[in-house]
Amino acid sequence: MSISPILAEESYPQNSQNAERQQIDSEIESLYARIRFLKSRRNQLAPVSQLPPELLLRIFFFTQELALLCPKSYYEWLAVSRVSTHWRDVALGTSALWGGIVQAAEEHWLHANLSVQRSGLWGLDVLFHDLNNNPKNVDFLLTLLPHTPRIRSLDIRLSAGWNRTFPGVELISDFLARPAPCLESLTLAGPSDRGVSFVGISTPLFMGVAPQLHTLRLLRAQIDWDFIPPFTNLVNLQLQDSFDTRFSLSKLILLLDYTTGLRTLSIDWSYRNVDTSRTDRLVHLPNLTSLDLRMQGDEVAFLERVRIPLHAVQSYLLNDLNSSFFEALGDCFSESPLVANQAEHIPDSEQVANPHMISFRVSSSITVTYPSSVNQDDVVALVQRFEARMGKKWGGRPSYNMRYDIHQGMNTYETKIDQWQAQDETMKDVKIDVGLLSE
Amino acid sequence: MAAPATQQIKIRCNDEKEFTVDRDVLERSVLIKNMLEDVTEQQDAPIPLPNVSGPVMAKVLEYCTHHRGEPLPSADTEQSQDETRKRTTDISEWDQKFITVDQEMLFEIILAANYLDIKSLLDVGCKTVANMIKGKTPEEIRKLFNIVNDFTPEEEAQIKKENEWAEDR
Repeated sequence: MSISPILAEESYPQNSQNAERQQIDSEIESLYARIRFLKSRRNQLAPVSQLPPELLLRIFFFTQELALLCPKSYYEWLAVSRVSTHWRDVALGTSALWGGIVQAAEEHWLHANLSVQRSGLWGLDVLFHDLNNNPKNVDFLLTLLPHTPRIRSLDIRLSAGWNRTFPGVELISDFLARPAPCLESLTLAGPSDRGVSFVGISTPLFMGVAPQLHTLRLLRAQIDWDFIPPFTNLVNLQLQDSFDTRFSLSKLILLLDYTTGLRTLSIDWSYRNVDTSRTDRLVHLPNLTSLDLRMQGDEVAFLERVRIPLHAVQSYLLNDLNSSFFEALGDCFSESPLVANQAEHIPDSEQVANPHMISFRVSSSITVTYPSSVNQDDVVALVQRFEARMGKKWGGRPSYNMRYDIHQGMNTYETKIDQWQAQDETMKDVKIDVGLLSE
Repeated sequence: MAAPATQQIKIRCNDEKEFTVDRDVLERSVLIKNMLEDVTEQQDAPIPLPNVSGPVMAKVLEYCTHHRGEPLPSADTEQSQDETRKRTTDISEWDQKFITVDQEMLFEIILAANYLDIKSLLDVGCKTVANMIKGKTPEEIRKLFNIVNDFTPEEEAQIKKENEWAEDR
């Protein structure tokens, strides 16, 4: 007798059980689907669900911004994409939300990769916070390199434990040597405890292509200043502790010559090159609103080569305070129409009786910090001479009134001394408030 | 010389509640400002606001009255914000106190600010919600907003994978 029919008979109930099991599974699945449907409906009743996707997205962007305050826990914001199907659909359906790339902790490599993928073709805002020698950082830099054309902002801050032999240095150079058509902001910051450079490229920065760049910050970092392209759209420039012997005042003036739209300028170089090739070029910065100079004695030479609006908030840290500084300061103010535009119009009631006069007031704030060895009486004399010089330049005595109260200035000065003594006994700080009333 | 009398404008909410408000206060809303600019003649009929209820409008007007006279964000401001692409997450002390309301009212205010086109109020509302979310796990966020996990098994697997990636050092 063949055994096949017996097996067939025995398998019959098994087949039947399988079918029943499949049907139960199918029912379970449909019940699960029903439960999920009901859960989704329940979620729609929550007050937060009244918000349309675009407003939920706006909240997600703010959540990201808050997360950015603590780069090491940046990717906590991803929680919003794991709350419900609706929230996830909104988050994953918006490439722009994924453009923020932060590499600040070990667990970030994969999240950062995920963000690069999900950002599609959207612009990238890349922050390397505390970049160290970990080889995985090299891997991530390599991953990111092909995306250079869509990087919108690049912020690289090296960790104190960073080593010059780190292969990532070459990759960073690669980033800076490629065209950056979308780049708007670049920050390069060397380790705060070292006086060494970390970037040295021989090709022109961004191959000369960074038309959108509006913010450039070089902190304890070096680039090749002989190959700086004309950053015509630059709005903010900060140079600090570059330790760069190739950099000089004339190169700075050359750079500024292209940047007439500059609004904030901050220069703090502790170890600068002695500039032997000074230029006579005069640079006008009509849009400047903030100037912060710590140039180790080059302030006068700088001020002699620029013209800035009087309303720009200025701060100077000087090695010495002498008449040449105030002379250069008095000369550097431009007479741009912008001054009049920025002027505060004085109400009719405050104007002098002559109805034909058009009065305006310009306020300026100049803070000068200088060594405590400078004689106080000399400072007062210098400030008074500066005041007289300004009065003469800005319209002459009959139609011009300089509103500088030396005693008030002295009081400010006294207060500041107390503050400075607590921090650094060798420096003093005086704030000169200049108020101009002109017709 | 006496200051010119401020023009009073009447508005009507979706629950028939009416408010008579100084024009400059109402013009914090770009929607109403544009409506008023389109109307050439003085009209007595209240402006209908079908998407806002009386209690929510009362809160919105409280905000607009406090911030009256402040410069409205111009196209230039918008552009410069876009330049930096950084949204400030600060909320002033008064705004924080103002927006300390129950969740239902908070979301109603956000919706009203969006409808009335009051960007600063919209941002205060959205920043407040972002602050509530900050540092929370998905489960904590669900609990906060009374929502439940409705992910499919596939989505759950994907999320788990993302987390495993994070743990794979």
